[in-house]
Amino acid sequence: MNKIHNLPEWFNGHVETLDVNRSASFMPANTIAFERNGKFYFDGLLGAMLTLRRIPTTIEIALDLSDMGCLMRLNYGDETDEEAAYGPFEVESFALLWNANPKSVHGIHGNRISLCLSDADATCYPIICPPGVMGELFYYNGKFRVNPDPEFADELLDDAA
Amino acid sequence: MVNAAGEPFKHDYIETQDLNGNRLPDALEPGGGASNDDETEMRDQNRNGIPDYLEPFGGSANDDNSVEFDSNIHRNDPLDRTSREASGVVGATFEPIESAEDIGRRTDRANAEVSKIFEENEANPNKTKFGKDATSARLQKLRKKRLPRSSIARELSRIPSQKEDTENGLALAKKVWQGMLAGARTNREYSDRERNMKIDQEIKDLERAERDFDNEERRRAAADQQARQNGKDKPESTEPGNDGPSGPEHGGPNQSGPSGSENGGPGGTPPNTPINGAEQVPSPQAGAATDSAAKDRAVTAGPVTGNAGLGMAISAVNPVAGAAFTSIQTTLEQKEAGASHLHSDQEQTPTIKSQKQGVSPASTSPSPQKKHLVTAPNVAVPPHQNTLGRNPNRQGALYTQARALAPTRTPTLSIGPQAPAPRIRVAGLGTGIGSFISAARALAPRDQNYELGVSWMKSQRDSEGRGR
Repeated sequence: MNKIHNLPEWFNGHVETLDVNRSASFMPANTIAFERNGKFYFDGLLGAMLTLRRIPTTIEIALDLSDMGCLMRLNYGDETDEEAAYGPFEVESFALLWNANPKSVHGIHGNRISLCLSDADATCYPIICPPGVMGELFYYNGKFRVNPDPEFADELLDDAA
Repeated sequence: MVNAAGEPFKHDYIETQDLNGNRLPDALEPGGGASNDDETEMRDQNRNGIPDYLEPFGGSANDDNSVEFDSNIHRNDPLDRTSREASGVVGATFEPIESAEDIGRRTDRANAEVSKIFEENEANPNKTKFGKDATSARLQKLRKKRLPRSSIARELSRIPSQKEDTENGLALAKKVWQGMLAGARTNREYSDRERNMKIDQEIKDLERAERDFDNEERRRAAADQQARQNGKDKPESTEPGNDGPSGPEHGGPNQSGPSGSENGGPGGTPPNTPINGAEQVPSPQAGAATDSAAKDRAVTAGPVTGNAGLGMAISAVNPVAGAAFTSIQTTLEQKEAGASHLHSDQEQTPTIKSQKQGVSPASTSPSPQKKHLVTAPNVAVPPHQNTLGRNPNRQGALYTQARALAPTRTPTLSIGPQAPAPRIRVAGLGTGIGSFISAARALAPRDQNYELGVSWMKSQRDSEGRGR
């Protein structure tokens, strides 16, 4: 996994590229990542694309911490703007991949996947953890952390152990 | 927050934090519950030298409560496929297109239905969207509305007679006033005349429509009758040209109808003078109206060409000539020889009533010359057929000559090519792609990716959303 502490140009780029209503290359279907038996997989839009053998050359996933907006760019062909597809990416999956830093995801080698992050103005991101516990996701010291509600924190840690 | 009894309000799942115990939740206190002493400001829980209030997230980031976000705390499940949108999005662009044969078959079926609709609509060009009842009701109303025709005599009588020549004083005033009245009257007459013209036009159209309704009903009744008769007769009798000389034997229009229709086949009759359209009645009675109409158009377009010049007795084969034509021919020759044309006045459009009773107007006439016409179904020309130069009501040498001329073709509607040019389709890119890529590339055979896509779609369908 390539970890970059800078947002790529396309993230704040031309509005039409990322405008859902005007761009044909923005596919408004979410993508997530999950782990099973030590292996990581994609699901959602990217998962479906990979199942159809539409394998991108490179994947860039960028997260803006100020508003917790995460987008991914799939590069096909010669990685020009014309041959790129965009789509939303789940923030928690980004955090998972960032923390875990796997060698490959869904058969795609980690070298081809770039995770981009902007450190400025980091905020918390309220999420729901699997048992239904509410928590706050935040980036601190190079890792993503979650602050579950104190009442259930012990329960959660007991389950995790 | 406190309830009515003064007790602190407790949420269901979380206690309201109130660190300083003043019965006011910390969230509502200024500073979030921190006391206002210096100790709070200098609090540094992780003891890194930076006060908590300067650290991100208030210094709570590093306490034991936070957990690193890993797969244990992540939702860590693939998305629920039963409510998946992503596969729908991707599937929509990669849906394997149906074969061209399927599309062709469906469009052929739709084309047939559409052409049938066109035929029904255009078989009767005078057909309005209103039914027969509405037409007749409106006709009655219009006839009442129409002012009586005024004659010249009546108009002349209205001119005031001049009694005095001198005009002075009151007489002059009277003359002026009368002149104004006369002007107003003429204006009124003018507007009345215009109005009457409009009403007349509408009456004419509606009467034509009414006549068409009657014709259609008569056609349908005759078709039913012929179907009934055909059930009894052998199929041989329906061949054209078999009943050539049987015309004079028939009694009324009912009987001459079917046999006349059997002769109505193209090319089955000896060449006749291209007779007027009055004898085209056998054709409406011959089977379905659309067939005959199509036959009309088809055959009139065929052998009619090449006939020119006056005085050509033998020209086209009129497809709707039947047994009746021979008889009509004889009568016309008689007329040319100087016979009277009285019968033309009596030719009316027989209504259904007269048809059903088997009574034709001509058959009741006592004139000996009209004996021949008894055999001929003498119905006036159905107005919607092309009868330029073929109006049976016009007699004379000039009209005979005019009838010898070839009839004009009815214009054909342009409905596009029979077989449209083949469209180039590429999966997911629509049909417009054909103009941008070469034909060879576009029509390349489906490759492995296509097969994979098809098998994926099949697995999606078969797995019923079970997913991985």
